[in-house]
Amino acid sequence: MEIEASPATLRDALEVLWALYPGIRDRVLAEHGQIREHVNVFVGNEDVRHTGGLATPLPAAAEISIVPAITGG
Amino acid sequence: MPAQRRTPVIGQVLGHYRIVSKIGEGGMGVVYRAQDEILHRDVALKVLAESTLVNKSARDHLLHEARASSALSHPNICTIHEVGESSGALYIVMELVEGKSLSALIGSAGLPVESVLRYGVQIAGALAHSHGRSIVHRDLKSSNVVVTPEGLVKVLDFGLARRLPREVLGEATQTVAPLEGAVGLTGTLPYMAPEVLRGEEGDHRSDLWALGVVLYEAAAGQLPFRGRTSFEVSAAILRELLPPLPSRIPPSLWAIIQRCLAKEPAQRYQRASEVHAALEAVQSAAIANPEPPTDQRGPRTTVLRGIPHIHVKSGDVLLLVGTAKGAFLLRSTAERSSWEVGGPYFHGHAVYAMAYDGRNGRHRLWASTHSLLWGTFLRSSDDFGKIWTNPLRADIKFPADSGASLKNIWQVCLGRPEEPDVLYCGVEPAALFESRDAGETWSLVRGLFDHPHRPRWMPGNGGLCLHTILPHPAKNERMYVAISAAGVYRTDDGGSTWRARNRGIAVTFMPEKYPEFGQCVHKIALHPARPERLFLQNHWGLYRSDDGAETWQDIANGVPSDFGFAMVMHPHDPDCVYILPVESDEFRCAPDGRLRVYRTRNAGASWEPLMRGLPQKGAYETVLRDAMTADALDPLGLYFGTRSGQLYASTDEGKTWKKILEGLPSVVCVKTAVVGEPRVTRKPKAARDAAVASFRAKRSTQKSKKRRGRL
Repeated sequence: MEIEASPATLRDALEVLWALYPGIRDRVLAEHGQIREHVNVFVGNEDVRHTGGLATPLPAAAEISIVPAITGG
Repeated sequence: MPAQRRTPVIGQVLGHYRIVSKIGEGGMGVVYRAQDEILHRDVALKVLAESTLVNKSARDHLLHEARASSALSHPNICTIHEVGESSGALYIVMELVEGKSLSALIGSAGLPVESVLRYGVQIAGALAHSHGRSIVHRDLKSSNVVVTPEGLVKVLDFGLARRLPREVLGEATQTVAPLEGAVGLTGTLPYMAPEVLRGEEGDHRSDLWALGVVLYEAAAGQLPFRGRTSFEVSAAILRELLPPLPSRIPPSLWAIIQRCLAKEPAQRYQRASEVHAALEAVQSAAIANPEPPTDQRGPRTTVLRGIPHIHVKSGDVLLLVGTAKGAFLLRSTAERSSWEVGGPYFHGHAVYAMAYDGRNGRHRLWASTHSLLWGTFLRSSDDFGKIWTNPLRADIKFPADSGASLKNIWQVCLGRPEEPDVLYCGVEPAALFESRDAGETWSLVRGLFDHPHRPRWMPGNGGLCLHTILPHPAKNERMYVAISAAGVYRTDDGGSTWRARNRGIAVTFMPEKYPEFGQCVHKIALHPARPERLFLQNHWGLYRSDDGAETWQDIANGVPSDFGFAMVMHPHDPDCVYILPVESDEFRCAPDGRLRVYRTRNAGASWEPLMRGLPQKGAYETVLRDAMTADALDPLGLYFGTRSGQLYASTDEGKTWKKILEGLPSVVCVKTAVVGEPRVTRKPKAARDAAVASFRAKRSTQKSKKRRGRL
């Protein structure tokens, strides 16, 4: 889905997403507000763990992907 | 005494090398093209400047480094052939590389992204090779990287960086200025990592910093940390944030550069091979088809077609079965002779806790669904499973400032009959949640969460979980909880304060055998008619208390093992308890491969096996702590599920057993309930047999569409 806004950071972009789809927030973030351990979030092709997590700056037309890690049993 | 050194001239021979022409000049010395008179090949010959060799130790150091570097053999590393001395001049013989230095190529506009990546990958490869042989470059910079016309990168001067005196001559700054506190710095100022500037030794990660500078420089056409004086440059390196790159640089490359240029070495990539892989990944993403794939139908969803649902009537008996990969609902009449199966619900989620709330006219099922990915959510259904709530927000969650994060819900249980809207949840990490509005809202019981013992509670094998909750049937303010591995705690003031109640319960895994807390209690059970009596299955040990958990006595008399998980009280007999012994904490399966339930009818003075209908050979089964239960009917029905996905039931107090379902995922929770009023009351045996016979006759002549899933 595309959003019209121009958020500066990943956190800002995700806030827009939660506003549109409130159910996603508690499934992607844990209580302390950080991304769940087994959920990978990418800005472009870069795992945001390496780019500053929720504070990752977003370039224009950023593509954010929320992808479950290959895990489980 | 060495002869006075003269500047080499064209045609002069050093060793067996004839100087042909001058190639360039740097801080370390002059580089010549020379001819190897023996091998007849051209080489590069660097004659080291006198200032480099201020004393014997500097000279020895350089020789040592050169020797080490000469062992490096990699396509992106300029090979060192030889080190020699002639007429007082120390020279290094290297592979002659035809090409342009990266600094010359970069210019002021920077390079196209694909070039940055192409060169970066090769430099990172060279660093990975040399770091693998414990050689740190120490002076990586764009003028030390040569690019051949074919685009092959050669990194020069590995390990040869001289040690600088207090005065620093930087290439980017034309002034010489003393650098405060700088002693023995190695490298070229704009490429120096913060730790090197601070006087620390620097390691391979300082090379990765320098690589970051080179990548930035190649991308932007200018250095990231600039200034008019050495002081300003140093200050920028130590404190300034990176100026942003032009927008044509993809965020992924920007992210790599940022990470190389993390001020703290521990925050950078820790190995050159990681940078190499990261750059390659960006390269291959750029090379790959830029068109988005046409198969863009959105996220894959699994359509669950036709899950069978149970059809429940008043008086029916329900079995709620939670497994590692979903929940199942079974339903039977009070006869409990055949079962209709519904599910799997929440398939793919572990359902550790289930409950049925039939109070106040409700018919509400509860299930906790746990996904490693998406977390744990409490779900409810008011129509026996056809529709479940799917909450937008997690109902059970720790306060944001508590530092705890919900891992799983281990227990959902009802409050006392006098409080028909109260429910409790026991969770992992060990905590208790309470609802006073039939599960609409939940709150953390802080009295237990803030208990001073909490920081010393250790997890059991399955995690630090609060798995059993026993409200006292008569005293409203009293409640027991069991935590693995903290033990039994009791409150006498409605949850504001809690005391450990483990006196007499042994611990096998700590030096102190009877500590105040820390026991890995697997299950506790109390009797509604005699609530001061509790039974306890421990991680090794069976116990009974007759004084509300003040003291516990060992009742492991004549059991094949006092290790086990499940424990069920007979609802009508306070002396009768059922357990399912497990061989040991290591083996965790039925002793001797014989699946047996053990029962005491004298409060633990002795135990007897119940095994008719249960496999007695090769049955290495495990029954987990919440996977056994009893209904409140007469005769007593008992049910348990195994970790191998089988469900057994007895309808005669445990004398005989029957497998009622198999092929399930690992069973973790079995609960039972009667919907509405039980329909069957105890009849004389003959009448019961007749009723069963006629029921069977009727059933076999009917074409029942409602018989689904019966095995």
